[in-house]
Amino acid sequence: MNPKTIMRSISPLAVVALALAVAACGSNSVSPGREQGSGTISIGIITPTSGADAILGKYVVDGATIAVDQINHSGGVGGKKLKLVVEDEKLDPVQSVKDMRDLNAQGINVVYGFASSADCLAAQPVAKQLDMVYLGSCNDNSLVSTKFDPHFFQVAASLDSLTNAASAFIKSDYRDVKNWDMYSLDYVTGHSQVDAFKTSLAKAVPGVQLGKETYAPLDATDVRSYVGSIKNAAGPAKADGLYVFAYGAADIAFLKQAAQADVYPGYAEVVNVAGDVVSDEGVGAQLQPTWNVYDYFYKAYDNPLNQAFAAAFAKTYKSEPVAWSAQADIAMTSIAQALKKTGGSSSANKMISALEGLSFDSIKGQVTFRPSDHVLEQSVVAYHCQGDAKSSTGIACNHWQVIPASEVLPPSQVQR
Amino acid sequence: MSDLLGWIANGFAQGSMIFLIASGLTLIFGVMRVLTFAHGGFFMLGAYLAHQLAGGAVLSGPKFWAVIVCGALGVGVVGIAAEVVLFRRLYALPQLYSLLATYALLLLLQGVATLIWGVGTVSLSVSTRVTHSVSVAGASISLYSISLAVIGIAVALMLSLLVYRTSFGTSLRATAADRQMASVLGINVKFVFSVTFVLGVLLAGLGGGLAAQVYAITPDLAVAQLIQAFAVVVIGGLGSVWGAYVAAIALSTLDAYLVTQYQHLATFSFFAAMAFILLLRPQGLFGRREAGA
Repeated sequence: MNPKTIMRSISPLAVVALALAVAACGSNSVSPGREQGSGTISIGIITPTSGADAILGKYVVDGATIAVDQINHSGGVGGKKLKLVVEDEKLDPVQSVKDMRDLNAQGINVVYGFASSADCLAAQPVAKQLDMVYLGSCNDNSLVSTKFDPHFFQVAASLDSLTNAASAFIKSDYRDVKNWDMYSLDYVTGHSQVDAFKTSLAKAVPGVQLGKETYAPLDATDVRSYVGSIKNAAGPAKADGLYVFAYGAADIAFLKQAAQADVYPGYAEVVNVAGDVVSDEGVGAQLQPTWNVYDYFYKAYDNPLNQAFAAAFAKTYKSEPVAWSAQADIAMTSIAQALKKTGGSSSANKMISALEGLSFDSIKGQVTFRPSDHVLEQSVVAYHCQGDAKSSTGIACNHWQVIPASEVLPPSQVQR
Repeated sequence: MSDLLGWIANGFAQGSMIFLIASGLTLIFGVMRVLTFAHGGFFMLGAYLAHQLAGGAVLSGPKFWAVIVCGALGVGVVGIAAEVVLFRRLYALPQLYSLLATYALLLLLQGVATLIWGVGTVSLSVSTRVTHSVSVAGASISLYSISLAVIGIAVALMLSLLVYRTSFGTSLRATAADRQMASVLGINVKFVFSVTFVLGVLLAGLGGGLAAQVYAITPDLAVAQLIQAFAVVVIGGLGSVWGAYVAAIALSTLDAYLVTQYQHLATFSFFAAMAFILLLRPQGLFGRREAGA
């Protein structure tokens, strides 16, 4: 075989090898850690570190890292340092289960993460089988009701909490807005979220009219037709308010394309449940005025813990913390507190006993894991953002309202 | 009437973006018999370069279009490098090599984009003069959608003129028909390949820049429209630019209609239509049957 032929054969293979190397460098996936040494306690993190929602995973890891650094700086747990081991969720239930098994194989019993409720549900039988405890940023209601399992603790505000908060906020500030259209994502949580909102709003604002429901595919980047469908609904029986449930890339697609389709002028208010500054900054200066309703907004909590957290986050990552980071911080704090109660043991039974009813100071004030259903009793915040070309982030968020836990938390549906 | 205009406007806008990727794919396959996954990477790169050139400013109309064009030219430069380093070695190899190598190039481009711009979403902001809605026969249609539709038609016409009314187009068609005979007749086949490839990449970069205004700009943009673009190339007929255009617009308009009227059918309509058309015409709408098929 002559050299030219060899080169022709090798070059494509060389590109394949090079591509895989660069792709690995460029991705945020982290190799599984080694089994923990005697001086450390490892905590698993399962979160998307690649794909369209990798930015959410980055915020989770960043928030958890800040929390763990602060805990270790204060002496750790029983003299042992906490260590994070990160696995890529890939927003895939099959991958999530594999990640749980991989972490367990490394001796890790406590896990935090899960951007998708479907992944949380998939992890349940594995957690039971392997006797692990996992805390989730997934917020589907079934996880704390019909499909409750004691191995799971819900750190994110549940869907019911978010919808109750949205309804409470609408009741207090926009009770004259009587007609609402709804836009959501076409998957389990997207549909249940809309159902919950309809029920909750009808109770909060008597006489409210619920208009058209539009569901866009979860992974769609071009939602112009769906956005156009909403706008068409604002016809003679024009709706006054638009309720949106979307997050990540799907939320950005909606916000951009709705602005271009001039959807916003047809509505008095747009309330974006699960929308946050991550999405808003992705739209930038073209963001139309929107109320986000979600777990956390860094300006809304005026306490020393939050101030220290936000300052450390901004110093390290040159950006403000978002809800995903805050949830990670609260999860790490709760895990550390629970480990102190168990004497450093991360066995599932001891951790479950320690976490149930655990009340502690967090960046959102005092929070408690409700013993009956493992829901974290916490406030929710509504905050207003819009595009601002003069801001370095392209947006300005200058109004907010904290809705206390007592107004948003639904009653427990778990009998134990 | 306003509903119908809305469907058509959305269909043309969405279809034009898919067509810009598909036109390059179909040209490259038609002439060089190379199926390239990397096209999605060039599309993504067009979006990122547009963002980078904008420098965080809110762009006025002329500046926005200038940024889009410059971004596309930048992608063209990357395309030249890719053609020289990689694609020239694929022309004579079986198609499996080109699938593997171009997929690897796609990963490489995504990895490089992540290294340079991170995993977060970046944005491209433009003045509302470019994006606001106008009223057309009672329907409110985004000016940007109209612009996309015009660009799509213009690109289809220009490609058609290039292929059928220029000497280069004659060389291109001859090379596509029989590259060995074309070479024997004095056509510089390597030159035809290179120009065709770079033109295809430039169109993908243009599509990416236009998409930056509509979609979230993340490394995942590389695969966002790729499957639909391949579907459009197959439905239109491999190597047919007008086939790709008609298929892109028709299927996107159908999708726009179904979303508003029968939403539960919308998610798979694109591929159901592809299956139906290929059952009736396996060579695609404007494709030609292979000899002996």
